[in-house]
Amino acid sequence: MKTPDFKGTPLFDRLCWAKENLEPVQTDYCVVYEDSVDECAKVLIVDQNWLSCALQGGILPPVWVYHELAKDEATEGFTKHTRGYLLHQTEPVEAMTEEEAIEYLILKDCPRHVWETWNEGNKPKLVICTKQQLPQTREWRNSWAISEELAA
Amino acid sequence: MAGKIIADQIEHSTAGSLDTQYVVNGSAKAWVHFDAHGDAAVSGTPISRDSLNVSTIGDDGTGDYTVNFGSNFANGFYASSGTGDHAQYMFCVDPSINPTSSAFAMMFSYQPGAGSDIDIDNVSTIHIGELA
Repeated sequence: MKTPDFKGTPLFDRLCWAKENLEPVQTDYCVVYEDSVDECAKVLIVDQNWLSCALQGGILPPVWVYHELAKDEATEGFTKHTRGYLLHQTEPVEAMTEEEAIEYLILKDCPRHVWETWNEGNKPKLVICTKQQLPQTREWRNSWAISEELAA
Repeated sequence: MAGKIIADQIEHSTAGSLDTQYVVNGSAKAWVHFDAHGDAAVSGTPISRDSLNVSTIGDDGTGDYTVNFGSNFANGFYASSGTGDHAQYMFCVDPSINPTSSAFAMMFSYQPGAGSDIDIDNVSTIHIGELA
């Protein structure tokens, strides 16, 4: 199915169109990252409806738009977004591969300090792996950390 | 998009009329249903059953999850509600930190502020508010 010309269409409307017209896509991949040495590893699970939008193309804004909004929100005295138009009026990104989509999500939903310094230190702070590579039960979930095996 | 109707009001033949802004402002702008214990194949990782306007679910630890939105809200002051279950108990969504326009972090425990959180299945949350 061809994506309509969505430039200028509110992003929410595009996501509604996608939900109605695209098949959800499940991925085996997830992102594991360590936000803080005092906390257990966190796992990002990709949403199947979002992934169908990424693979389709022409729906999602470029990831820098989210960074701009995050910058605004971190400004002292922030009360409400005034540059929401960036989500709706910026040229949507082309179709991504599954790998590109996950890289996009790392930049969008992982804390900046994690992806900016992911490979500094004794071991990576962030890895992309399959769900099968994670523990298969949630026992000791709060002790999960990126192991050497996973980091490799 | 095809089939677009622009109207400020809708009117029922007998029950009166309604401003469409009530529909726009009063409908959920994001929702998700997920299970923390995944499914039979991969039971260690949460699985999303269905959603709208969600990019990822963050599994932040036992009973701690984050919903990341595809289209940001105008700020963090949207309304959120939700439930989940574990064994014979029913749980309410409890924000773990102040919501932001792009993410809603939540925790589940037997009592607010309890030392240990608990993994929940059939988690469903809805988020209502103004989008950016």
